[in-house]
Amino acid sequence: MKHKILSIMGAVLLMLTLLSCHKDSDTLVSYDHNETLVFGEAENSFEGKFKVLWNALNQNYALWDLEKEKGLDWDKVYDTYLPKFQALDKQNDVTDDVLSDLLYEVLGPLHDSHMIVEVKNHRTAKSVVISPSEYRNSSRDDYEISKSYDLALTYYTKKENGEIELDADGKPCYAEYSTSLEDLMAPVMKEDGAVLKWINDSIDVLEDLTLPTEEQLSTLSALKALLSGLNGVQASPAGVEYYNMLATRFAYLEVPGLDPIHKSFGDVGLSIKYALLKGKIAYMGFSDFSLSPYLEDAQTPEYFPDADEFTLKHIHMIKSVWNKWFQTIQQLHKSGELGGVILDVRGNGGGFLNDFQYVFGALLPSGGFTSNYIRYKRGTGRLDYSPWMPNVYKTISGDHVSVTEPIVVLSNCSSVSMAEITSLSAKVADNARLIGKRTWGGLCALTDNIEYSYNYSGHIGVKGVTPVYVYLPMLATKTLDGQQLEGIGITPDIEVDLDSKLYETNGKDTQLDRALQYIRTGN
Amino acid sequence: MKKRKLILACAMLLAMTVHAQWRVGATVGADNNVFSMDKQYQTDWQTKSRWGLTMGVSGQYNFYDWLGVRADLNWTQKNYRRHRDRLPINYKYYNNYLQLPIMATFSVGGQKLRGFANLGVYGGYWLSSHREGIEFNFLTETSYDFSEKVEFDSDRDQRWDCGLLGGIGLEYRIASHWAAQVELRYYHSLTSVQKQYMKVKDYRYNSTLAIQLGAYYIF
Repeated sequence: MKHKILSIMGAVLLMLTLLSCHKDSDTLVSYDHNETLVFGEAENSFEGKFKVLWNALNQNYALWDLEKEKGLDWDKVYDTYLPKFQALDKQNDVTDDVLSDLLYEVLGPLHDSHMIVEVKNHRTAKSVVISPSEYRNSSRDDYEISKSYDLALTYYTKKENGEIELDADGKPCYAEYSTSLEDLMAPVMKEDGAVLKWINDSIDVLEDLTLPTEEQLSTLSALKALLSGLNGVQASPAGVEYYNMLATRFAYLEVPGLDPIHKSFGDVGLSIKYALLKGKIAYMGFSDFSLSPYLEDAQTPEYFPDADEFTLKHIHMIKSVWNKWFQTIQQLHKSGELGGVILDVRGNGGGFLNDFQYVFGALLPSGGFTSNYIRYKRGTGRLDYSPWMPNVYKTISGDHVSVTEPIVVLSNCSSVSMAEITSLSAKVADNARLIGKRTWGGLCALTDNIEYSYNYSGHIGVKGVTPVYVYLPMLATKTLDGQQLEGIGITPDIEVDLDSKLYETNGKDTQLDRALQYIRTGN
Repeated sequence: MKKRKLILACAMLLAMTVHAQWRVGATVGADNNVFSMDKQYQTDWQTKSRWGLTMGVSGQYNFYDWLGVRADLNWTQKNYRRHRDRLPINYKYYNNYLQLPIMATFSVGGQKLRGFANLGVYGGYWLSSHREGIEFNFLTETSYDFSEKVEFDSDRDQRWDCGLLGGIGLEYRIASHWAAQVELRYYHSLTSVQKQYMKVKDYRYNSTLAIQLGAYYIF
């Protein structure tokens, strides 16, 4: 009996010893906020910067299965490039170009086409900015043309060219407005800008006076100071802040057009154009998916806090252009006269997902529309993902018509993000076609850094603060037939080049012409 | 020479069968599996154990009335749940394994009622995986119900499993050739379900406690 018990106890003791044999995983850190423990080494070490970048992408990047399919071995990248970054630490001088070139070698193969990486070069005190998608797309034949496309309809809005419908007063059915910073500040930035012209003319008048009064001399001095202050002002957030300071300081001069510009136009400024083209074809072109702050009363105060009369006027004007387009479609469809709809997203860099309902979704029945699946990163492992789920985009609610007439979406190389989702929707909807050139390839959505912990993926670091910052999507996207087109883009149904010479000469737009041909003839 | 060896082996076998006992049987039961992994800084992920089924066949050879060797072949589920506190996300995993536990079995007690303990090792193969639950689309703020087969990834998923096992139970001799058992058995996997496919080490383990009933025919 004794030896039975001893045998059993011996076996139990051996088992208990072996029961502790679960290995510990490596300890990982979160890269979403500035913390010395996480980013400290990267402040003054290229090796540290590389390790942060590699590890942060390892945990947060949502497309590792796609990259594996494309032949990328991310672990091999670590083994290959760590020594190279270590070597930089031993060099006295490391220029921005050297750092940039090495980073492009590391990041170039990654397909995410929203990703932008900023790395501080502690040797030069400047940041190096890497955009793998910019580098990839810049080799495309249509890249330069797409960058210079400016949403101009000058040829088509001239009555004599016969391309535009006329209203009851014989005027072209056309409207446009812009709240882009470049356009809002054009009067003070361009030499022939209205504000600069008025100031210069006023200075000329005052200088020509033989016996100016004290007040006139004072006004002349102030105008010259204002002119000097406006010299070289930039259409940037800092430029707007400086301009607003000048506008406030010199408001007593009552310079026409020298109105303060709300800083939010730096984030949500856009250009929008509506035209009713011959054949009752309702065209809308716009520069950004930033319509929601203008069109939704609940969002306006959030995006434009303390909006003054000038800001409210800008908001009203954008809304009015969109309304003209939307209401025209409603009226013409109900009367059976609508020829078709053209949505021009060429050169459109994307924006709010909510805008879908005001663009393609404004033409569809209420209840939502799906053109793709999405998948979130759900863990720190490279291959930890959620299931694929259909992404249902909001379509417009309330009483409205569902457009059954032909719809064309125009796209080009610089159609990105929501512009690509709109392009993809044109390939899904039965009565829609995509015409133009292949889009950018950036379909994966992203959110603000502050929302990182909802999905534990997305941004890396804090822009302008941490030595490494990555603007990074939080999810993957695939088409309804299972293709992941990140880094590739949406191929049009009808491919058409923009004849840039013709466009620059007289404004004739070969891509728009093809869209009009398709709607008018069905071919 | 060969003929002598053969006669000697047969004689030994005959001698063993006089004292030893063979038995074969079947088991069925339920198990509760604990899935362990390091959630790192993703602190609102929670992992909970889940119940599953186990059933199989068993063969045992007793050298003495208190010591034997036993081998089972069973299908055992190693299920678990993961959910998040911050978002309405809930995943239920169903994992089916085919296992071959081999163990020493020790028993004490009387003719009718005996207690026993099993100690041994097992090898297993991950047959299939399924997950279902609720996901949350942060972009549209909508929930999505899903149920899908988990496709194995040859780089990531470790299909082979092995580990230690220990169990205790009671056996009741129903008739001269029949016995019934109830056993509480613990499987401690020593193999991470995930291969180390990354430079970063990430181990994930199953630990399974089964309660099972068995019926045996004793030769």
